[in-house]
Amino acid sequence: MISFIIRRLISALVVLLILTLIIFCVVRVLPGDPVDLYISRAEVTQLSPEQVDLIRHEFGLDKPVYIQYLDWLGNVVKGDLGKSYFLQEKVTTVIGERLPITMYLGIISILISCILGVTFGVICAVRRGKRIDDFLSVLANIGLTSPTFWVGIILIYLLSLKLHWLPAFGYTSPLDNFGLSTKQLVMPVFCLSITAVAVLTRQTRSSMLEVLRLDYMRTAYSKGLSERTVVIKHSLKNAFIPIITTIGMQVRNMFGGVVLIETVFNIPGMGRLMIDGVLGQDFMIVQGGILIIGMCILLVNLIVDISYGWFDPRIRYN
Amino acid sequence: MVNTELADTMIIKVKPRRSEAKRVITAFLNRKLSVIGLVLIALFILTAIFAPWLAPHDPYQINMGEAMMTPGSQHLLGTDTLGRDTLSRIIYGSRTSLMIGVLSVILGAFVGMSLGLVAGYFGGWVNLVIMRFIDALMCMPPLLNALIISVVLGGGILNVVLALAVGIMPGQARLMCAQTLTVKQNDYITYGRAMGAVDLRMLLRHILPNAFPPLLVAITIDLGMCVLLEGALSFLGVGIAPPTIAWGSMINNGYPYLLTNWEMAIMPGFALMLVIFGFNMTGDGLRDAFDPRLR
Repeated sequence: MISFIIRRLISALVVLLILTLIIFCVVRVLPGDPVDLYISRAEVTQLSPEQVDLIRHEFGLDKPVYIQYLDWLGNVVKGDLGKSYFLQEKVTTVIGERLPITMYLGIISILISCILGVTFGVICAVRRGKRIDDFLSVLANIGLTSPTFWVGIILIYLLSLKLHWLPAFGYTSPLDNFGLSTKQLVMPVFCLSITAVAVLTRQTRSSMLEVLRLDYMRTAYSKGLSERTVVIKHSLKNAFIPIITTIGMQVRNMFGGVVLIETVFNIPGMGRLMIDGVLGQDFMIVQGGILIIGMCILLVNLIVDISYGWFDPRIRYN
Repeated sequence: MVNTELADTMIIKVKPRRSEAKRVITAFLNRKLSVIGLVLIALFILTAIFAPWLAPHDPYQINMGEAMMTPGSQHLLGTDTLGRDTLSRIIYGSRTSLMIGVLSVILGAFVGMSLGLVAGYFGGWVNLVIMRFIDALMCMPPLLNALIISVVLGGGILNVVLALAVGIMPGQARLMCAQTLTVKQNDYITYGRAMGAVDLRMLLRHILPNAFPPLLVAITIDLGMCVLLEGALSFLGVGIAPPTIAWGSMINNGYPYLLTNWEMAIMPGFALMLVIFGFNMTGDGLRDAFDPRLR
């Protein structure tokens, strides 16, 4: 088990290296010069070409790309992600402010999606072909196909502008004002969860149906176990491997979803930071952000892989 | 006498042979939702082709005198900030949406499937190198990959196609690789190799067709995904550049005027959703029709 985790960590590290290398090369092609960007934000108005070259040298932008990558990598190992050209702040500081907001939003959404998605899926599978199954399946199909950013706009129109129930956008830390923070979270969390709930409902339904028709289900029923025990202990646990894989995928996709949702609801999280970074040609922010997001996603994948063994003890890690 | 009777009953018992393609089509048509999906797609394709005849107004015609009109008899869905007819723009937008969806899936699936096929067939270090690269792309959400590529390349139609292709390519590659590994196990592949078939012939004639059904499903679903991603990119302002009409940018443009003209932002989204719904339902129908366990 330990050796499995170590081997997986090493392969995750390799993947992370390749990812950062790809992103590093791609962002160097971004149009525009980060030095110009830096100067436009600096206090000084006039700079001689020599001074510009000095700044370029300071950022290490005059070196070949592979040296720049190795320099960056060396600093990453020391826990330094460089300095943002635009925000004139350390990338670690900026991400430290933004990541918790996205995590808060994301973790709540993932929890809600898992609970609702799995519950709906189980209901559909157990009551297959009944009205409730049809209803939830149609709902899942609609959820799967609605563009989340558009749903967000509809919600803002209905719940904020027309009914005045919820604030239209913004973010407040739950530590500062819990009531307002929760109110502001309702719509973003709803939008972030739609797709995940829909996908999980469908996945749970189909993998439950696979298990429910197996012989040991009949055995479990005929030895007098209650439906609750049969459904939860005998079938759900055995149906869970594809579901947990799907949950892992949904965590990844949620990092894409936050880019849109944080834009619609004007939330200063990682998604907003990434799009501002990309649009503002801020190499350091994009590289650092991708690294951190990649780490989060690879960590989730590792947890997913390890949990397989718990759901199916036949799985051996070697 | 008795013998012929027995022979007759036996003949009746044997079902007429049906081709696999016919069986798949029948299974597909028996599912109501998949037919609805297919019809929706057909309608959108017709809308895209006949847009000039269907649109009541010129979608590019700026008319400041009629700006920000609410729905009425002259403009069924109102007008935008420059007085352009929203309905006509939605109708023309189907061209952009479908064209980009189809082109990016063709490109993404071609590159992804080729990589997956090669990785799965040759195995060894070829597989290792290709799949680590795919793994790296896979650990980012497709939207983020497409977003970065799209900004790097700039907002032309072909650049967005390229960005979306990068977004869906890793999934296609991984699926194709897994399929190839499965098909490779079959005896007829070993037999073909023993007969001295060259690699390219093995790949194209034997492995690709046998690995194809799940990929066809993935391609259909990815069509919906690309339309959605294109909408998202245009909404973020990094997709299709104006004056080309894109539903995503229409939503983005209308967003600030929700209070007075809600149709501007919300109506294009319905079109977007219906197209994605169509592709997804068609894909679902295909998956069920191909699934041998559901026969």
